[in-house]
Amino acid sequence: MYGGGQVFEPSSTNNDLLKDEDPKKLAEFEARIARGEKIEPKDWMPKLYRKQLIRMIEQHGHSEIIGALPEGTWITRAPGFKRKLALMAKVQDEVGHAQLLYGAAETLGKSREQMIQDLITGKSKYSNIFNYPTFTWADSCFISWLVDAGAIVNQLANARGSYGPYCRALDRICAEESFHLKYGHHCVIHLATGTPKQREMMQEAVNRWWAPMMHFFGPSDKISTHTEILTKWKVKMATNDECRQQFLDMYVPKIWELGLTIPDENLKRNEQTGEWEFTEPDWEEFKRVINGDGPCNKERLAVRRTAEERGAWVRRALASKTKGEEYVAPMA
Amino acid sequence: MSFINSLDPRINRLSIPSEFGASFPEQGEKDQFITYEVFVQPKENKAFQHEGIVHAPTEEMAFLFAKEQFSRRGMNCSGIWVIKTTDIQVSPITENGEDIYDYINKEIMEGAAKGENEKYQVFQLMKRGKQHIHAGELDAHSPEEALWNAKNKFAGDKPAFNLWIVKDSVILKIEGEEFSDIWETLPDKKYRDAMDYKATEKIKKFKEEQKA
Amino acid sequence: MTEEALKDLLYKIADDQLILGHRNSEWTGMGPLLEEDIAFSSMAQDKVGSSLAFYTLLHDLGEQEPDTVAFTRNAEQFHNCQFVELPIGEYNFSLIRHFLFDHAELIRFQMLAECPIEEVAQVAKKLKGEVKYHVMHANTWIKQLSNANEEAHTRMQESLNYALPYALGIFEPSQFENDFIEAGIYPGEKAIETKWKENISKILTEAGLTLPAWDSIEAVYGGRYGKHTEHLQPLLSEMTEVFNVDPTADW
Ligand SMILES: [Fe+2]
Ligand SMILES: [Fe+2]
Ligand SMILES: [Fe+2]
Repeated sequence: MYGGGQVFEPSSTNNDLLKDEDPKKLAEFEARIARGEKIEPKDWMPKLYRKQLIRMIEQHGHSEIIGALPEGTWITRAPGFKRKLALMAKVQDEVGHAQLLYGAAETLGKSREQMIQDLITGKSKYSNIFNYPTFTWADSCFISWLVDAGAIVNQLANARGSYGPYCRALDRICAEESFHLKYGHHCVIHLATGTPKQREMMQEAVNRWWAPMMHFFGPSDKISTHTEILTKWKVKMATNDECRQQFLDMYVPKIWELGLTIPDENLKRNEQTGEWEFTEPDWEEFKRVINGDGPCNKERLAVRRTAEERGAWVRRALASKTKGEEYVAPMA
Repeated sequence: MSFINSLDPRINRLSIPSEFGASFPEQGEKDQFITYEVFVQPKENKAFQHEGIVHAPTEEMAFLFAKEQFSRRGMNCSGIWVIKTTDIQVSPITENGEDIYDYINKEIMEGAAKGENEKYQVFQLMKRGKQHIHAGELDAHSPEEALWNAKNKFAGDKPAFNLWIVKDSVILKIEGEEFSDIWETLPDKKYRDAMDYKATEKIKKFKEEQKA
Repeated sequence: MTEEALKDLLYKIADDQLILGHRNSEWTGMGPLLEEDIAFSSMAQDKVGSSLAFYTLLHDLGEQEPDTVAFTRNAEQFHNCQFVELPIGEYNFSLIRHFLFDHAELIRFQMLAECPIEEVAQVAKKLKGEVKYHVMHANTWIKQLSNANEEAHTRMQESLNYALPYALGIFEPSQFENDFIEAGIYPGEKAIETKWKENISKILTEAGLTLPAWDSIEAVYGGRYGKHTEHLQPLLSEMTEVFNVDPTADW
């Protein structure tokens, strides 16, 4: 998933979903997962598993397609051929990731049209971090390197999950992410070691993006029987805190070595525990932005809606070609 | 009327009303296309492998989409097959590592509607969680007979867990001499490759300068 | 043939590719359907990539670095036809432009693949493969969409009518036209235009679109020698905004 935290919400309906399951089938299903085997679309699965997976994969897909916007902002302004080509390819990949993820979710029985509909009507969520603006070229470089780095931490964890189509999509995605990460790092290195003006741009971007970056992985998970079962089913592969710690461990030293300052005085690695300590992120702000009150929520959805509307005549026309042919869920 | 004032010049050119989408009606008719399964041949003489799906209105368009979604990277690609999802016949998937071929016997053909003798393509799942891979082709009068023939032709020491059978005539194949040049510049797209972004020297130099 | 003539040829090809690639990249992330978003983006990348290949040839002939050439000139210094600088409009226009332009490009590259100047021939030979896919893409789209329903048909026909005068501007004759033909570099713009008309009318007929009489259309010339629409300079200012923060910096 592209950012964590808000996916798994236990509710009483979820518990009900679980109550009616055939205990024998459930036991076989759990045994398969315990053996490390993947679940495939045609296999029996608990309703709750299906529901949570659709929700998770769908949100991941939405994050990719919305994530194409803040970076896409800089496509027409990227400085020089190398950057121009790379950024076009990078944003294209993110659209491609959405396509792959929607495909994986479709195997579970929700159509892509419905998912897109739920995105543009505000019914389903996407990663919060894309509700922040990219003021300068350096902001887009921060995203390419560090937001993608955060996403990779998440995605590598999820790639070890239990649902076959999702894992296969993630394998492909992670291979492409390594280009994003290297490209982003390359850009940041050039700015941070460049002219005073470039350094300043980069430092300002770090200042702006650090708080959203800490929010990216979501608040500490509340351990409940609900998350326990999702962990057992290998839907949830790592806690938000684990992901955040892993990210800090891998990337804070790399940011520091470029002479950049991270705007948190309390950020340090505790040598005894090996854990990173930091100022508790402002979770009120996080909630506010998730609930629609971020700097770019309105714009992101409006743009997505506009893209859908402007393309509607194309899809309508082409759909007339396959009248009478029935849509079925893809196979794998 | 006021418009969304974006940092993105592309978006400003769209003149999106600020109030746009305050209400977005549920669509009456869904414009969901059908799906096509995409198989890619990474190299000449290598087996085609299932890569994923595309949504498309026709098979020609499915190919156009498949090429850029599933073969825009790498050093080589030598062919793409697209098959309408509903044209693929799927066997059950086995449990506990059993070989699907053990479940195929002659009786399977009883009662099968016999058609023309024609060519079928067979794809096997050799590892749960991985992709289906092309095993080969055979002739049969029905999909059931194709399964039986597949057993005789492709069953081996290693178990296969699931089979996909497709009539050759329904596959759109873009492959061979005639098309090889459309992938020719693939190795030149270095900018899509992580390898092209090395900068350790720059960091080293920077650190040394900082020290000095 | 003089080097000046060769540069004239390479510049117009490079500038066309850069400006159209740039324009088409405006659709990335905002296309009409996900798969097409991806395909159209690839083709925009191909265009920018091939412009780089031609600027590199120019650099070998003594012109400045590709980045400098692409990111520091003003509109009057660009040799692209006006067709490629027009805004992307609605998808019907972008598709029609892609169709009309890439058909011309394919013929151009096929001809240049036979060019006696080895370096040019090599680049053209390589690129014509990817442009072949672009043309397959364009043909399929034009045919599928134009006869799909009335709305699509009307949109496509309107875009075609609007685009044709500009499209003919692709073939604005060079001041070195005779030199190219005499030196056997390629058979010249007229020859491309003739073949192009033949190729596109075949597809347009299949698509059910109407091609007006050619002599009723007046070609929009001027782009090859620096006369541009009001759209090019803003495009360039946007494209070079970051680069020009410090053109000597390593971005
Ligand atoms: Fe790419
Ligand atoms: Fe992604
Ligand atoms: Fe990414």
